[in-house]
Amino acid sequence: MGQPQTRRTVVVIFILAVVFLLLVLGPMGRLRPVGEGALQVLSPIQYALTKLLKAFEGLRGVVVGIGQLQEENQELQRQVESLRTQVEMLREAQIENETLREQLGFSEAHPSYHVLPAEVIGRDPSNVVRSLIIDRGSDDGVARDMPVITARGLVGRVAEVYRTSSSVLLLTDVSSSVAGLVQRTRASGVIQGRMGRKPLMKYVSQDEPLAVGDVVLTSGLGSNFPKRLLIGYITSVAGGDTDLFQEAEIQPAVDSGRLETVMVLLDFSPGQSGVTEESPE
Amino acid sequence: MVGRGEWGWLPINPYVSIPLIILVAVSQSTLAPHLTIWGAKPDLMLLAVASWSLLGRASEGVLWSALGGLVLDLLSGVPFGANTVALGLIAGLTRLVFMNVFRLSIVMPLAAAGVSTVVYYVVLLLGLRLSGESVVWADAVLRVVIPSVVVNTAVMPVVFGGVRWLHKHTGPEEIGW
Repeated sequence: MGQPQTRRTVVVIFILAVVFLLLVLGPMGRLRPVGEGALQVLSPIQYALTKLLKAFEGLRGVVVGIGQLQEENQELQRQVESLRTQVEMLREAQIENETLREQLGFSEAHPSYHVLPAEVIGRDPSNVVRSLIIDRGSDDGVARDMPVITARGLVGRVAEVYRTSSSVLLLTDVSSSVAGLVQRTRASGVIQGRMGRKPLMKYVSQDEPLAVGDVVLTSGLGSNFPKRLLIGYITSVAGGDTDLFQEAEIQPAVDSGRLETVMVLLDFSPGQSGVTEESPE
Repeated sequence: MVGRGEWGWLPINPYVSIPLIILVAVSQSTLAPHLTIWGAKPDLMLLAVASWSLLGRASEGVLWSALGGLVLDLLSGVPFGANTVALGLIAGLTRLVFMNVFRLSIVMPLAAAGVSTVVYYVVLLLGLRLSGESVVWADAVLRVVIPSVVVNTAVMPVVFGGVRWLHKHTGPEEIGW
């Protein structure tokens, strides 16, 4: 045996001595300063490695999660589309509900009116005649010249009747003529439709005060319409001092361009005494 | 020798044209009001009659105007027959003036739409006047005729294109020897 053998032996004895020392001194607390010094060197390295590991784990999570997110996104989009459709259907139902409540409220406020609800299914094809086509006719008890209204006011009168449909001449048509009065002053006149313009209240006496915003109702004169149905509101007054009569432009209470449902007053026909009712609010 | 068309004396395929005419008239009453601009909705039947008169034979324009006018008269509150007369005039006028004077011009359909609209509404308004209705011509021209001319001219390219396609694919074939 030579020098390498001796060197090996010395190293083994040294290591065993250190281990023995650590095992003896450690429990006695004599190695604490050594441990603290070592931790002060090692802990920053530990901290850095921990951070790196967390970042790596986060990145791995992202990569794995992308596929899951795509699936989830598609599923959510499907749900959004479905919910959107449901929202639109509910919105339509709400509008219909409000319309029906309006009609019901009107019927309850005017119990003596026998009204027949009808849907607007078309309009006059030309631009010179203002009329609607409704889905009620003689089979439902509709007759010519019956007034047609909504909860908001007067729409017009039945012009032509067929078995299952009718034509309604609007207040705004050039051949429409309604006897009316101003609610505030009781001034009477005739509301005449005009082509492409708002109806005009004509033949109002010069000494009757008219003002913008005045409410105009049916007067029942001539017995063509029941009394006190709301026609509209005055938007302008014209007529010089030298004119025999003054005139007022009327904004109809009912927007006929947007009508979807109307009511036909079944228990009224021209010539009979009007149904006496308070004007609608 | 030129043979007869597939439908004999009938100028066009009736199984296509008659339902189509009815569809156009009903569309004018139900769909066109949703396209109202400046108080005027497009007169689809008028534009279809004018287009067919420009593209097809004279008899085809007459058929369209007669049937289309009849259906419109049934749906409309204007004096009965006014639409038929007006559209018949348009079918003849369109063929006579625009085919001979403005032939092959790119603005031919647009000019036809504008002039036809004026003719159409003059006839309707005269019909109203003759039936005892009061017509304020200034209001009628400013608030009905002019907006209708604008709207119909704008819509005519669409209608003309559709009618041209239809005419090409549904007209009877004639076999020449």
